[in-house]
Amino acid sequence: MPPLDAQIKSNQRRSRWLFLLFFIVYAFLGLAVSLRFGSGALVGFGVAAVVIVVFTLTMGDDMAVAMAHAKKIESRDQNPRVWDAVEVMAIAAGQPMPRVYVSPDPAPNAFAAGKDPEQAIVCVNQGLLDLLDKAELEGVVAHEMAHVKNYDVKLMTYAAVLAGGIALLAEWLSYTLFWGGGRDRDSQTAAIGAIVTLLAVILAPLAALLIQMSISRRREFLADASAAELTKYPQGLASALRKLGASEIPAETGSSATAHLCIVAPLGARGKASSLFSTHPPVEDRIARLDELAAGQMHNSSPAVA
Amino acid sequence: MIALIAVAAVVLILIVWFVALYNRLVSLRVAADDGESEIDVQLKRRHDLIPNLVESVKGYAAHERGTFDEVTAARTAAVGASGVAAQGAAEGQLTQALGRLFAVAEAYPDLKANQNFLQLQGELTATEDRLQAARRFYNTTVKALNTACQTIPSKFIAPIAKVTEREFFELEDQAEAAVPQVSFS
Repeated sequence: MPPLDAQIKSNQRRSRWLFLLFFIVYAFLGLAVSLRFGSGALVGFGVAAVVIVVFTLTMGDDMAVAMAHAKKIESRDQNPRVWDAVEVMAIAAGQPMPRVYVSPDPAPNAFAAGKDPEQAIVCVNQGLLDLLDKAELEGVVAHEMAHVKNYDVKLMTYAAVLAGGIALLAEWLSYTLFWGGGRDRDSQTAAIGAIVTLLAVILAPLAALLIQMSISRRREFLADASAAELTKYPQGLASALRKLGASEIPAETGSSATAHLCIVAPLGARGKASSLFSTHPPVEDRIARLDELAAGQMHNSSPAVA
Repeated sequence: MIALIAVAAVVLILIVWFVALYNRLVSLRVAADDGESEIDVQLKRRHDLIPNLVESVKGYAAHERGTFDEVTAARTAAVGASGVAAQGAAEGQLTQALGRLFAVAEAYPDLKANQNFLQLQGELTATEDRLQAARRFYNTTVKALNTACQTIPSKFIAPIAKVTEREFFELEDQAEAAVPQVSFS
């Protein structure tokens, strides 16, 4: 399947560039900070960031499951439908069997968590099980397995922490603009510092947010493409997304922290999620790409493709 | 001095590049081995279910000897097959024999309501789903492995990493096998 491989490769390349962009924004902010406060402030912020990353990576998956009020499925007898879908997709992905959870939430959604494939979690909402048939459920689980296999969970945690850090730093800098922080050095340095700070305060949070959304959206397309590869049946996930897109049941559990790992952007209590700053691309776009993959598969179908 | 640094840099880049290619080849081989052993696990589970299934059908349709013998013979052949290509072909035969066994079962409503039979049938279907998944993973890995063995530069490193091309595990789809081939030409 050349179209599939090409899409995965180009997505990965773009993600790397976006991550580089992230660090450029960070460096720009760092420059602003060191111009006003000297390098000591930067060290303090770096230590705080490391603490946050370590904490999220060690506790993150347990917190996500606890927030969803999910129950662990210990054996196949407890829920054969979910267990079978997860085990089949784990085999297809060549991954170890993840821990399986079912959340009582009536909103049709699912998410993956865990810092590496060996300790992964796949959590499915009851609402999803009520809505989807076998091929659709396998498509959704395959999408989650793809997030696990591609180390998306880890990547997205870093992205969230980086974006959060930039926002925090920019906010803090904006106070110093008005209250005249910084030290008395020669006026030229002070002027440059003020201009850099002003730019940083305005541009950095915006850039960080856009980069984060962009990475997240790219990852969704990539996970969709991988899911099509794992099931060799893009129509299953496409059909599931059609049903999920039409659903209007709001989520009862979870939080924005896990939103980027869900199969579709969870609906808040107010209903529709906004499209510009959404963590997920529009469902219609994802379905269109899956349909393209399905058409491509039919064109160069080989005996190995079932 | 500068020339020396340049030479050292080039050598270093070549070493890093070689190590990366070597590791990729080895990890593909390990993945293919994993895929093959997963296929074996699912095949064994499938083979273990069949004698019980035949017994449960026998209880209701004892006179369908021909079908039972056929399934048993196909199972024996499948258990004895070695190498993924031979295994795939033998499993195809077994799938067809099982298809005939289930066609026989269709004629006995009591059997179709039997809890034991239904459970065995369900387990067989679940095992076949896993087998198909294992096949997809194995074949995808072998495709990448074979491509690496055929393309430059990894082609030259494959013998050093003791990586060779592999056969695909072809398995006739049950749905495909059930549909008769119609030709209009």
